[in-house]
Amino acid sequence: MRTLALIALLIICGCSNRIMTPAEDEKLVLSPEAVEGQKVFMEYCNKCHPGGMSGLGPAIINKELPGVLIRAQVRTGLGTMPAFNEEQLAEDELDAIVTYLTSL
Amino acid sequence: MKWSLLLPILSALSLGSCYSIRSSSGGGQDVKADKNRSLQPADIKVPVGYKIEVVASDLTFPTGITFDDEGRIYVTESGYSYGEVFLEPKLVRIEKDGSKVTVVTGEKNGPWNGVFHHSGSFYIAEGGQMEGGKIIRITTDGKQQVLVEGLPSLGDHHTNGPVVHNGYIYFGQGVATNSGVPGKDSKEFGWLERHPEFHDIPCKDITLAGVNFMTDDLLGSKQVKDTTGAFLPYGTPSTEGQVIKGALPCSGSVMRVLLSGGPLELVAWGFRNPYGLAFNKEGTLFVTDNGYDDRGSRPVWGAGDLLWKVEEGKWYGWPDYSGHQGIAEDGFSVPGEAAPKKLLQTDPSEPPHAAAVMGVHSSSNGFDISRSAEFGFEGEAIIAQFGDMAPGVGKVLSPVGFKVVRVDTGTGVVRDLVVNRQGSGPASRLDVGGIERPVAVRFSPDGTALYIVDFGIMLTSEEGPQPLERTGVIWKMTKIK
Repeated sequence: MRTLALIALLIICGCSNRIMTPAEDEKLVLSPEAVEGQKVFMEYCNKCHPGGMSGLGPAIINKELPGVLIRAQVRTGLGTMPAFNEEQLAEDELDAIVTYLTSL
Repeated sequence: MKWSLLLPILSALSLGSCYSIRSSSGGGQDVKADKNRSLQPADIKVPVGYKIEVVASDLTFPTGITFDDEGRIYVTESGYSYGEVFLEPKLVRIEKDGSKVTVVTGEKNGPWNGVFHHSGSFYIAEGGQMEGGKIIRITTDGKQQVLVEGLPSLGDHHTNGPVVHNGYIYFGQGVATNSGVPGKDSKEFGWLERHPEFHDIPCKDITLAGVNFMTDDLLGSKQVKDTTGAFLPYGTPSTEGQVIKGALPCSGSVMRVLLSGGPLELVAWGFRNPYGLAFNKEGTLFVTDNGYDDRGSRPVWGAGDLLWKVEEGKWYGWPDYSGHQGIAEDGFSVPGEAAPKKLLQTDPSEPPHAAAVMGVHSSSNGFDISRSAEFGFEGEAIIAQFGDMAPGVGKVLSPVGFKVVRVDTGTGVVRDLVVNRQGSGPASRLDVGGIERPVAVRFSPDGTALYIVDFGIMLTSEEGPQPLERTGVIWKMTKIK
């Protein structure tokens, strides 16, 4: 029962509609790899997660997923999120996205 | 399994279930608002060192802004809004005290989607929902001259722009449908019954794959089901290998005409709704292009709004691509449904990568390019995002757009520039006095001030859009000295 409640809570939190303030972009300092990751993020991810916030898809900047899970979700997709194979997103591009997202 | 790994996995799972579980939560949905907007610049977040203020208010569906040779401000009130509201479009001068003087009133053939002042005349894109699109010149004595008419604007999208450059008037022409096929959504927009013969027109010859779509009888044809193909009128099926001849004027294009008069010229095609047009200092043309919606006979999911760098003669992918990505692939199918089928048997060419990809349903519309080191962000495209019109365009989990963004046209990085402090969404939804639906921006002639045209309140629901008159505002953003 406790596990079910926890799962329900995570679903609610994961799907939360709370209003988020924009990322403090002006203060953000990115490493060179994160800068490259930002460009790739903008091309493939920004349309559903504009600025990392919720839009068509849920917000991702408010959830601290480890890099391994970010990679897994991008490669396999999850729910309505499509999968991006290596032809669509090369390994080094995915590495850069992970670096970027974990910098935020 | 360790809790340290389980919790992130459960977080990821919860993320994946979001879209299916939740109802749509767009910016105009479930909002109670009236015409009395409270305007509080302090509710708007701009970068450190800048300020924003109200210039004028109480406008009805403003869409464009320009300046005459004396620096006086002129605004177009469009005269039409989605939601089938038809009024007389107007060119209005905003005086220094914020009062308004109507300079010219047009015919009920809006929307007037934009205005550009050049050498003493105003050039207006008349959207043409009722009679077809036009490009109109208005001289200082108020006389109107039609330079171009009969543009294919009777459907979902209209004639947009214009912008004057090197002796030419450039303008955008949106497509008739969402993704190539008239259907139930065309009837809901209001135009299918007015113009059942209307359809998309390619700019060059295309060969169809012969894909057809069935709908219930929408026009009383007494058929149980109607079958419709792409680039054809409702109820007309296509065949494999069928050639549709290209023509000018055409849908989904950027076209131009000489200021001195002359034939219409095609600049580029394969856009969906090229709304905003601007040239940078180097003379390169950029356009904003509204992406596909999740509606109609061929819904497309997950297609962002695009910023394109335009090269003459190129094809930009509509109706089979979003940017450089084919929509018949994974990622563009409506959840739970098959991917859209390709409509063209052969691609005219390979579409390029977009200069930038913005939020799905953000309605990235009118924009300008910063040309002033004094204002800052030199070379960046400053784009007004009108905001989503969910649920009609498709479901969103949170409001998308309702702000002004700046885009590095070289890297494609999109950043917020002007946004409500309380977060995502229009002022009416957040119950604050900030921005509502920015639809266009224009820099002052000296480049030191950014003027933002705020269309005003448009509520949305399953019944369609509900725009509110007299809620439009002009904002001005400047650097603090």
